[in-house]
Amino acid sequence: MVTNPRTALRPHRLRPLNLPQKIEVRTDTSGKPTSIVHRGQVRMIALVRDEWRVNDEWWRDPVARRYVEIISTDGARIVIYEDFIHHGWFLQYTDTSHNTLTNPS
Amino acid sequence: MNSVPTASLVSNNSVCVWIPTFPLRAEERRRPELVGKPTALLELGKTKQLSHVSSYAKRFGVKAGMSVGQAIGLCPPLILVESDPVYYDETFNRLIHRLTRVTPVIEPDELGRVYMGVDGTERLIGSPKDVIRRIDKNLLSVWFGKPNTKRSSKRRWNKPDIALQQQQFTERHRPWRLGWADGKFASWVAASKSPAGQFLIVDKTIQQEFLLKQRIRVLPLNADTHQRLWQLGLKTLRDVTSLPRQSFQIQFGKEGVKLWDLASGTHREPVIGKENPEPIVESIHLATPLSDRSLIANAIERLIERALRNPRRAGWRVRTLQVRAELEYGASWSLNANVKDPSATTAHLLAPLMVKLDRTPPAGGLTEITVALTAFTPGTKELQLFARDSVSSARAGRRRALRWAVREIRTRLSKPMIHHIIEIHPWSRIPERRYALIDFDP
Repeated sequence: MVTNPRTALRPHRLRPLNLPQKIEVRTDTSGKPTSIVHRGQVRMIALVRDEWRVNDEWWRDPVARRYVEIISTDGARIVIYEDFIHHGWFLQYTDTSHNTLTNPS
Repeated sequence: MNSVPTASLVSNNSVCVWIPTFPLRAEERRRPELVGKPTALLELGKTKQLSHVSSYAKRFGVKAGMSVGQAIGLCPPLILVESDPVYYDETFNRLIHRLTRVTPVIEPDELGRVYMGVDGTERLIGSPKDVIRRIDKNLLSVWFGKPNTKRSSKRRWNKPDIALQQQQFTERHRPWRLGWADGKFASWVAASKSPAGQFLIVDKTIQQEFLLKQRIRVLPLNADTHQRLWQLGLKTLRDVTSLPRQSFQIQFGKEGVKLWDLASGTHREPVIGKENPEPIVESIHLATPLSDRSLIANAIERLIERALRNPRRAGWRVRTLQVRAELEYGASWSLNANVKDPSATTAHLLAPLMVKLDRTPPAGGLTEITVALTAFTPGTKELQLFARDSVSSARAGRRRALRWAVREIRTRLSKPMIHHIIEIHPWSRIPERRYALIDFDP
């Protein structure tokens, strides 16, 4: 769900949904994620289900990401990505029916 | 209520009061901070399409019907406002009601456009300019909350009468345009030709010439007919009337004849007002005479409930009501009540009657009780009663419930924690660009 940003409200202000959150990701030698650290909580990765690249909007604010869909050892489906422009890993989405992480917004 | 026109409620001279993009203007009235900003209204029931766009937003290329994503892309500072049809209806009803002070012949056309029959007002008020000024004053008192005290310079008002008079009101920004002419169509054209805050009086002697100069877009055309006329090289009403009426009938059927008649000025539709509502009467015959106070009160309450449910009452609040009763041995008894705050709820209407019942109880058992709702006020604080039909009634009811819920949440949390999800770029490959939240303020 959407977390309260605790900022002063302005009428009709647009608030983007699903904003990514910075996380730490440990990878193996081949670059495959093995665990993620989000808000101090470590979750081990049981399975990498899918991988895809997004290169877009090169004409204004370029986006270059490598998305990885993973299943954690506690069964949650998590989508993370590696950002090649801003360098780092980000949490995009977690399946709320399983996760114990907070869905970023 | 009944809307049977009578001869006295028909007028050839018409004043068209037109407020273009009325919902947007109403929002600006409610939230003055929106004035002069790029604003767009979201389509009712759809959160991804715009229904009305302010002129400032149009400069960025934003258009009605556009998706939110497109609009935000063109105009990043665009302010999105959710539609509040109940408020628009309420505001419009208030304007209409106020205009009855000028003339009883009022014919609302669509939201933001109303025709006023002004035959005979010149005797009561004065010249057409004076009538227009009176209309403007009444509109001002509703729109801005107080009558306008500023006056245009005397020099301007006292110009000698000319056939086509175009005047500017005071500097205060008025969203309405007024047009005076013979018949509804010509008055509408006059209003549409008048800039915001101004009026146009078209004298009968030049009305035909005035109409012939207009472009075909003033005609009530659908897009297809408009395009066909354009492709035929017909750009003005003069072009239309230069062709035989019969050819129009062949090409466009009944609609074509009507268009030709409107263009030539031969078809002058009068303004047809609506009659005031008739009383709503409910009665009950009692087999056993009633004399107990609580039983009488209960019977009156049931009758009020029944009268309020009458579909003719939709959109009206009750201002006065009457209770009549026949007593045993042929006598009668009655109570009248004027409700200070017109209402459409049983409890509000019953309260003053009960006070009177205690003061002047009937002198015998009642054999027949009649309740008559005799005077009404348009519009209401009970939102669903603004409704003109069952759909808008349901919509108004939902809005009301939502408003209460939001108010409660705001009171408890000090913040309106309810948001609406709108689509920005639902097709985007970047998840955070697909949807966004806006504050939900019903």
